Amino acid sequence: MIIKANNNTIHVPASITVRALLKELNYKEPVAVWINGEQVFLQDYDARLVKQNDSVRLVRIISGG
Amino acid sequence: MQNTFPKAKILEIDLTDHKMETRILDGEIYRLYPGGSALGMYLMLQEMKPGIDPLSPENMLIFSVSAVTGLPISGQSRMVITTKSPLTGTAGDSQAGGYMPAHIKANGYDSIIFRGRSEKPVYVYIDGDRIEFRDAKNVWGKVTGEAEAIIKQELGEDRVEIAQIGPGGENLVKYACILNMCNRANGRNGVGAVMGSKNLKALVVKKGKAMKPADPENFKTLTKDVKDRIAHNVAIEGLGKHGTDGELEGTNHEGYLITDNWKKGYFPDAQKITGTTMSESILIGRETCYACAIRCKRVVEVQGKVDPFYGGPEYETCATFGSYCGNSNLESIALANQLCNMYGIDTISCGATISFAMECYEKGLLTEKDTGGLEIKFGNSDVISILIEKIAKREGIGDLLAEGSYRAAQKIGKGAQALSMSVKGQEMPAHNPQFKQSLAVIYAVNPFGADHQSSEHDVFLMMPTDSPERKRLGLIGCTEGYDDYSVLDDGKVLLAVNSQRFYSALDTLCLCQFVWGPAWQLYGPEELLQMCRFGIGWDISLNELMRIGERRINLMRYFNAREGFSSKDDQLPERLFEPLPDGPAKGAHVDKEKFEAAKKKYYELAGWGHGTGNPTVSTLKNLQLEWLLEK
Repeated sequence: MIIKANNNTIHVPASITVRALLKELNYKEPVAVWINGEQVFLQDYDARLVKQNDSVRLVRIISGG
Repeated sequence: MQNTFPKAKILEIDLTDHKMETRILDGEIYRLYPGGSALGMYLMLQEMKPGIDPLSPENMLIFSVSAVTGLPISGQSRMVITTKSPLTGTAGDSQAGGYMPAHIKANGYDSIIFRGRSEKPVYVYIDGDRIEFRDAKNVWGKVTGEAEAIIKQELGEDRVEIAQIGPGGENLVKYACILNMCNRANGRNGVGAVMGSKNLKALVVKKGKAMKPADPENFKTLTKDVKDRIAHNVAIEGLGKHGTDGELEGTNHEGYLITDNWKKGYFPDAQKITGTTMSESILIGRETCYACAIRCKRVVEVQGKVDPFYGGPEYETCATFGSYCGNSNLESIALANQLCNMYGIDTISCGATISFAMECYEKGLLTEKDTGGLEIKFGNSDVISILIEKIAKREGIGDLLAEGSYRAAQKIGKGAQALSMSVKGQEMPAHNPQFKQSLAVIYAVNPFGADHQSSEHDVFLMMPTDSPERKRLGLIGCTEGYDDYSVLDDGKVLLAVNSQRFYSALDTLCLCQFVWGPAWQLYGPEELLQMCRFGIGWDISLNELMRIGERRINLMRYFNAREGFSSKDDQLPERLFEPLPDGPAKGAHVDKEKFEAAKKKYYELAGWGHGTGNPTVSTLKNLQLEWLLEK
């Protein structure tokens, strides 16, 4: 299926979870994720599915510490 | 609600004469400098002359908490140690969490000043108004864990908190730290060396009663939903699960993990030392600070090698003893962390200085004759623990490295200065300004050397406009968003200036920057104001808060100006201006012209003279610091 990830149009497997999408795109956690403007919480990464034409925003959280 | 401010109780201890007295600071003054190094700098600038040797009796060593320390909420139990730094020669500021800060407050003190030098080693025991000087002959020379056990036995008291130096501080290692709980470090700026120079082994406080909020009912509105807050904050939940080291692999994936003494930004074996790997291997538990719900502290164990008593490595420690040194052996990093906590040495400066020595060795600037036969090469994990012990004891090559990379480079000569990745003499932490470009400015201008905890990092300006992080940043005037973190423009300078002021206010109030902050943290600016109102009846505005932060920065910068520092010292190592040689961020660098323009803009926004980089008279007056001009 086709989705938009950070404004880039990409092909990913259908019915993919957020966790699997991060793996597919080779993102290492921690990553903040928004789907169509709504933030997905960490506890929902394994359950929330990304759908055709969704617009996904991914930002790596790399701060102090 | 009343709008009065509590008074501060200051305990003054003269180690030369073994005398002490207390004094009360009026609430009107305390409100301007409500804790931390703002209070510390206020006290130091009242009396300390410029030009003193940081390791002389003339230096002051000040432990400060704040007006809100000890309240029953996450992220308020931190203390700041202020002094003149022996590592940088600037104002020194070093922060730590744990339980000790809340118990300093529970004993009734906002600040404890040490002056002079004891003839013989002592430790000081505080139980409310009862203050004792105790002979430290049985603990001098002991590592922190042993010393803690002996002190408790001598006092016949388990219910104490202890902040102490290890042999590193006793031997005046320039980056010696002060530890409480044997695993919470006031790590940076060499504050442990100052304590050692005073023959002060430890500050011990009896545990006291919890502080009650001024308005308990409203205060509960901030704390009752803390579990939900954590569950709905990706950064905080991740922090609890995998600690600060959870971000190491992501940083590497971007190509900005400091590798081989900043020569590279990509470490192929990063996965072996990242927080998730730690969680799956040597992690046996999570610890916390007084009243904090996040529990980000790591507790690790390697049977027969690493004792969980000394906690576990943070991201900075995993980077400096790991990728900085080309070392992918997590157990050796955990051991290095333990040794630093036993000997009382800052893990950042120590790991970075060892990585500097590794590059010197590989370039032939240090030979086996210098190292006593040690092969100090990148990737040699075995040599790290040997070097830490030598540094703490100032044995052989350790005596040179105990001076830090900046001074060691001067002694080595032959071009070694270019390999010291330091600012104002202090080694840079593991957040790469080639990646987060606003840090290029902060690392250069920060009064006590390069610091990653003095401002918000660039990545949060990449989040969606309506995200909580961006909305919070908007409250402090940072509204411009970015798609590319590597930009360095006026918007990023504004992030540097405004978020530095906010972070400076947090440091003044001794608040944890993972819990309180202007972006991703558990609580944002609005909740911080509520915490002050409901906690101590302080009806504060965001403007007052930001001015408190700005005032602290200017106090430090003024202190530095008296010591001869100026814009000429606001420099970065040349290596940051060179393109990264490989990895996902190949070619990334700090653009020198943009950096200089950004610094100029920073000085303009800060109200500092462009030629001098120091606070102008009008800036000092605007911040109610005109009294400095009369000194």
